Amino acid sequence: MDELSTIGFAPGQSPLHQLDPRTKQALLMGLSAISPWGRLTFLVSLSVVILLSFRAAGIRLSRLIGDIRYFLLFLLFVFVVRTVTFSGGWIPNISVELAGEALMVCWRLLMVVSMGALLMATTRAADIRAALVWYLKPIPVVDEKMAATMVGLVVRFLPVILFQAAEISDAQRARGIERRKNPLSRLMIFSLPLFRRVFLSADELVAAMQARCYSEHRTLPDLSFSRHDGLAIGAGILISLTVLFP
Amino acid sequence: MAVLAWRGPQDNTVSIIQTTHLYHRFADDTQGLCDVSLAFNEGEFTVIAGANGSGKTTLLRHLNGLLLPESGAVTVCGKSVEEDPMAARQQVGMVFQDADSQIVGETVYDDAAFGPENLALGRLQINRRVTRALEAVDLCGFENKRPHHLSGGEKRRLAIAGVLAMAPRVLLMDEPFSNLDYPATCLVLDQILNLHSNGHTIIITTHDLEKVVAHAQRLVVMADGRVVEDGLPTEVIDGVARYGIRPPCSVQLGKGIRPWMS
Amino acid sequence: MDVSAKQLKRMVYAALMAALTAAGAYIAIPIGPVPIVLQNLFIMLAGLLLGGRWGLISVGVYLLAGAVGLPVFAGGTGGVGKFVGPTGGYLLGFAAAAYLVGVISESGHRRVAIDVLAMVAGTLIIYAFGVSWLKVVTGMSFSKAFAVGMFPFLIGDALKIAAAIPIARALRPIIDGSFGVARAAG
Repeated sequence: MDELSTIGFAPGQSPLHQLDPRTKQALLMGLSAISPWGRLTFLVSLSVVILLSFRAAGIRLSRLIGDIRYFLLFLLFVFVVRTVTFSGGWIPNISVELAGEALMVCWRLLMVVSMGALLMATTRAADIRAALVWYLKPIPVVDEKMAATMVGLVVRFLPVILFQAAEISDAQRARGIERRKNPLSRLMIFSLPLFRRVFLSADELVAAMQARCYSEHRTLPDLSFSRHDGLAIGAGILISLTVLFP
Repeated sequence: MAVLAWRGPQDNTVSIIQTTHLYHRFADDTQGLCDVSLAFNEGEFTVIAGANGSGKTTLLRHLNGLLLPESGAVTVCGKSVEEDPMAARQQVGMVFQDADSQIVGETVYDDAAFGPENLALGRLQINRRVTRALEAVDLCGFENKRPHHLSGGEKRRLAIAGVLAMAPRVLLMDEPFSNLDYPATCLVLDQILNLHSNGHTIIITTHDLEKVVAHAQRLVVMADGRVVEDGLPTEVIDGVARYGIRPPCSVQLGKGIRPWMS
Repeated sequence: MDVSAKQLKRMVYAALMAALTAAGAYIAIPIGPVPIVLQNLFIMLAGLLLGGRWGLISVGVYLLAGAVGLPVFAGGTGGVGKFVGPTGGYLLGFAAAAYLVGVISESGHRRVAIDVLAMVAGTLIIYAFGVSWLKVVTGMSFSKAFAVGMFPFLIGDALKIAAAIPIARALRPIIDGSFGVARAAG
């Protein structure tokens, strides 16, 4: 449970690494949003670009597949559900027309997920957070600096919490928790110590943040657009335009 | 690391931190601190010893305004902590006992930069401070590592770096050697001694005198929220067992205080 | 404690609750043939423990972290794609549920019956979002979508609601208490 995803950030010099994180996120969001209207031309050109990017970033496809294996199973499930129909009795009915349409749906979802993996593999967590602040700034109500700090804390404490959960689970198994069959008490016996531990450490964390002068007027990370970003946005728009073709 | 942005004392006898008749009462009405009056001088290396529940940690938290006194006062550089806790926290850095709940950043760099970012410094200055702080604790090249993947000793050193990046004059450390193995303890101790020789005022709390007392210039013993002994380690050490503190082995063997590291 | 310290405290609690929510997607208790995943229990608890406003902020932060590509969603790769994906509806449902549970529970002054009602409403709203979106994305009929996206989980949900009540009762003093005077150890 230590590494949640095998595709973490890997330092490098590929074109994607050099893009500003805001550009990458804009591309990810834009292309994801437009994908439901994309047909074969769009999907093929996007696939080619994504495959080339994976290659340039030095990520093996086997790693991607290992990372999203459950998602692939789900896609398979969606494909089967959409393709197979039961007309009247128990005889399955497979239609080629439906299969083509189902393939398209699964392909689109796969593209969106692959782009997410690319973003993660080529962008530092701190930069992703910096881009987030920039995007949230124009939105009223939302305090972007607070949001960024909180997101940072989530990323910092998720592995700690998973580690503590594993520790609690091991300690309980060592004392024969499996012999208890009542699911209700199992839920409580596990959750209570976990929450108690996390919330008590919260008090300590608050003191530590205060001791280091936590304030809402903090220095934000530096980001700067370059010529590459213009080119990348241009390429993104070109790919988006292919939705006009079948 | 040299002391940043500070020109040196005008008068050496002025104490950098002073508490006068400090009292603290907890929410559950137990008395945490009782009439604590201490003055710490610039550049001094003090060990505060006491059994669990003697009030050491509570006292530390008063020195940078994390807790405020019920009565009495704390001053840092002559200014009241209660009136300006932010100023006090810049001068007085604090390393907590549990490094895991002190480390805030997603990466080593982020954590070391957390303090200077809070001070709203420029990015260049932040980077300079982070580099120097990581150098001081021997964590160069770890910038992009995740804190969760560090060893216990590395986490403790990162916690120290996070405080150093704020360029404090005083370092408070709460049980800095707890849960560390032998090599990690040696490294942390060595770095603390370096920081002291660079001019930092060091205040360490511990219930285990063994590792650190040989290097201290002053030993304060606390029991039940009161200061019960205060003086040179050689003078105070013989009586500490009365207060639930184990004297170092060398003292028990009648050889006086010896350095723990060979 | 001054205002900013209280604000910081609420913020840290909400952030840690968001991290717990993220962890909940990975933690399952193996009972019977289907392990019980804890995530929607944690969503309910976010509402019960933090109240409507901060419960919503907490789940919002979790979703935000996932949306920008940080690996906090179940099943590996996160990113905005998860919202467009088949299970995206549940994610939005989580935010609505945390808010609803918190608001109902607060207005009912945390009486047990009201809390149960709040969580039933929360569970329903998660499925309202989740199943409709599942239907839209995969093009299944409503009956198929309910059969895959809701019915198999209902028994687990009932258990989680039953467990959430005593858990919330045990934890509320810790959280409320820490908004009084803090006690340092040692």
